[in-house]
Amino acid sequence: MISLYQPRDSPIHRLHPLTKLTLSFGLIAVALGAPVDWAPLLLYVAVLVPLSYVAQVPGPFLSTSWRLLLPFAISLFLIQSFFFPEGTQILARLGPLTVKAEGVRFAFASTVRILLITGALLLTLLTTHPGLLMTGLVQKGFPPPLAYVVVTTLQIVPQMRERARTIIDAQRARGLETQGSLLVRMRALGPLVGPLVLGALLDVEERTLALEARAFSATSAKTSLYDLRDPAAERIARWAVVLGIAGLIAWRLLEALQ
Amino acid sequence: MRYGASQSRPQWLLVGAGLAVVAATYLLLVLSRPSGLDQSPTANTGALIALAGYLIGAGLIIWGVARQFTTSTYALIPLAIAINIVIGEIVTLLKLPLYLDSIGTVLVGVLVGPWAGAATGGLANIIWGLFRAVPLPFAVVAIVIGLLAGLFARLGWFKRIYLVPIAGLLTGLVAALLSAPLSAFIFGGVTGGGTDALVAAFRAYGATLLQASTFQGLAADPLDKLISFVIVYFIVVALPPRVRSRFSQSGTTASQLPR
Amino acid sequence: MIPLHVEQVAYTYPNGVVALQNISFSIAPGESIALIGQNGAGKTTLARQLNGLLQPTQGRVLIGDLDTRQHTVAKLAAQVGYVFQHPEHQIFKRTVRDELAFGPRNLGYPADRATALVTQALRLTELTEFAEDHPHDLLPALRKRVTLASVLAMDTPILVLDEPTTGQDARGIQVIGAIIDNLRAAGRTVITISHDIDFCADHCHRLIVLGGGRVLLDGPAEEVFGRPEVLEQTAVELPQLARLTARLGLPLAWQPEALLDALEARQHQQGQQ
Ligand SMILES: Nc1ncnc2c1ncn2[C@@H]1O[C@H](COP(=O)(O)OP(=O)(O)O)[C@@H](O)[C@H]1O
Ligand SMILES: [Mg+2]
Repeated sequence: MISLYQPRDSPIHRLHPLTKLTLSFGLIAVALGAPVDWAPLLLYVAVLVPLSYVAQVPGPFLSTSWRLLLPFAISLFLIQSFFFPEGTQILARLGPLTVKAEGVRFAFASTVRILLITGALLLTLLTTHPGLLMTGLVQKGFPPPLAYVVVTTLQIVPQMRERARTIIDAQRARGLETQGSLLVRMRALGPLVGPLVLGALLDVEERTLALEARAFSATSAKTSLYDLRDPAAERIARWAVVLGIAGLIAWRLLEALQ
Repeated sequence: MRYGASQSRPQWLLVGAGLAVVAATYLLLVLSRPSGLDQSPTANTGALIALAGYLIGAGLIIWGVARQFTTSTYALIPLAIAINIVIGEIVTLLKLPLYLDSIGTVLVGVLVGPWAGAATGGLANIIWGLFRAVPLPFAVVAIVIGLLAGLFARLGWFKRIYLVPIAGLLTGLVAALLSAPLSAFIFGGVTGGGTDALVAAFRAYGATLLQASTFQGLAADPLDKLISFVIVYFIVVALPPRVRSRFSQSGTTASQLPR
Repeated sequence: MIPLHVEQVAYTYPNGVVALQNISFSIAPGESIALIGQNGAGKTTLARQLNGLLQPTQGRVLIGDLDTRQHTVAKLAAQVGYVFQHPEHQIFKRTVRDELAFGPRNLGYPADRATALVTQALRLTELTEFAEDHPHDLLPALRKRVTLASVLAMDTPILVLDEPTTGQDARGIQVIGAIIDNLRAAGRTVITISHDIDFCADHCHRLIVLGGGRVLLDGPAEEVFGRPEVLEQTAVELPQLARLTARLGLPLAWQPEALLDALEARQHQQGQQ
């Protein structure tokens, strides 16, 4: 199964998956609801990074977080610093280009916003096994077939990748060029995509039979495999956070509508 | 528990509410903040509204259609999502200037029906989100792509090759419009990819951020979906009859698929 | 028709698994080689070196005078045909005929030559009556023959077959065997990876036994079957008839005629005593 999950024994790992998810969204809401544009950076540094140490995953957390952020950060600072027609305060001139203070500020605000949103979700994903996440959600009323879909997808992606590799080899061995002009590479799509999709559709029959044999009980059976505790404190905390998020959104929404 | 033929229609209340939330969010953002820029003191309000509206909308729609499919559709959807992911990787390998990461979604829409396509798209982005977080807010866009692919198939547009690119183009158009506010309000108007140069160009000519994001989407999405739809058409044409007949029973009737 | 040279080839997978070490041999046009060895011996890894799908980490592979490291797989495909084990990995056309035409078209053959090659490949694999069928509507054994036919149609001087007989019925095995014999008679080189030692004994005149990424034995069947102690290490069994001759205390033989000859010779001897 592919996933970001890092197995550790930490208090954060032991939280109910839904609690982590709710807290992640709560943090995002607070960061975006705060009236200053550096709030996300503050919460990232003051909350997420320390929590990643508590969860014993600071390395994967920081590296994944920055890997996700980097392309956005580069684009944002390049584009918004130089091309910000709304701006008036000129910081520097580079030939025909001007760097505007408002643009730099906007790039900063957007960058830290992306940093916090991805970081908050990442911390949950790094500390929660996807199977357990789905079990936890199903426990709380999430439709079991959808949980089946998510877990199964994570399991079959590696197989599908392996199959794609073999298909690429098989077609190259039949003279298919996969390098060269754009036209050549476009033409390679059909012979590669065709067998992949056909093979997958042919698998459906077998998988359907297997599913019917199990009467779709897989996800509920798994519940007993994991010890998923959901203490009252967590339940209360979740409701409090949900209400908080709702209130915040309502407040900001009303303000925006005026 | 069986999720077979027990319930074969969406829960319209949930789905309708989801679509309404998405539409309202889009209109609110586009009408009330036409520049796409958010200055302090309410620094991130646009992002908050975009994120909440699109996520809640996607959740309601997915919830509304979750329990209605046949077992073979549930068996198909994971394969379709894996197809999205792996074809996306093949495209990167071939260094093509395209995404083509919704071929599985479109395929399910065409073979099974609009709601199955919608569910596939939504779940695909949730699963992508489990690795990159970023695709999560765009789940609604993927839902609409699967939904439209299914609707066009129902309308018989997949029977004739010349209608297929038009269907793809229209779907890409809607996708571009729908994703622009997310891009502008949450991601500062950029995608972190090569097409960001277009944003710079449009901004240089004085376009607002939302306009630039929309133009960027319009430059990329319609072509991408056009090609995806055409590929799906050729896949369906090449399907062995026994596979095709299995799926065409469950939604789209055989006469609506290409010969 | 061109020779093939494997010169001191070693191969280590990117994850560090050493799959081949110090492999050298040459194959002349018209040879039919069997590549045998237990699972994990390195047969597939070696076969993939022969058309450039993998490139040696040390040493080199020459197809005629083409070094595999200097040419794309698609280019080398005109010289070396490679039949993959699983048909699902390549079939994507609507009809068997179109599937067969894919390779020749990639290689840029003129239309009339391509058509002739496809027709011939259909005939050799006994698929002519299925030419207009959807490949996925065929039984698995026939579908597998489609993959063989699709490579035959490329008319390459060298052919590599990965486990061609698995899943085939007796008739299928016969058809494939006859194809190998014909190719060889026409001066082509055929390299067969197979677990079916009887098949190898019948259709390959030279056997290369791999074990632990090295060549353990390389020679004509008589020579290789005469070294049961080496074969034992690799879990390769002798052909059934050869085991029978061993049990009977007869000189090594694995073809019915040879066995009969040996039996007659013994009777003759016993008659004289
Ligand atoms: N893609 C790969 N990556 C890493 N190791 C591999 C790969 N393919 C094969 N191997 C390893 O290389 C060795 C030889 O494998 P292979 O050539 O497939 O053997 P055979 O075909 O004789 O069964 C084995 O130890 C196998 O585990
Ligand atoms: Mg092998």
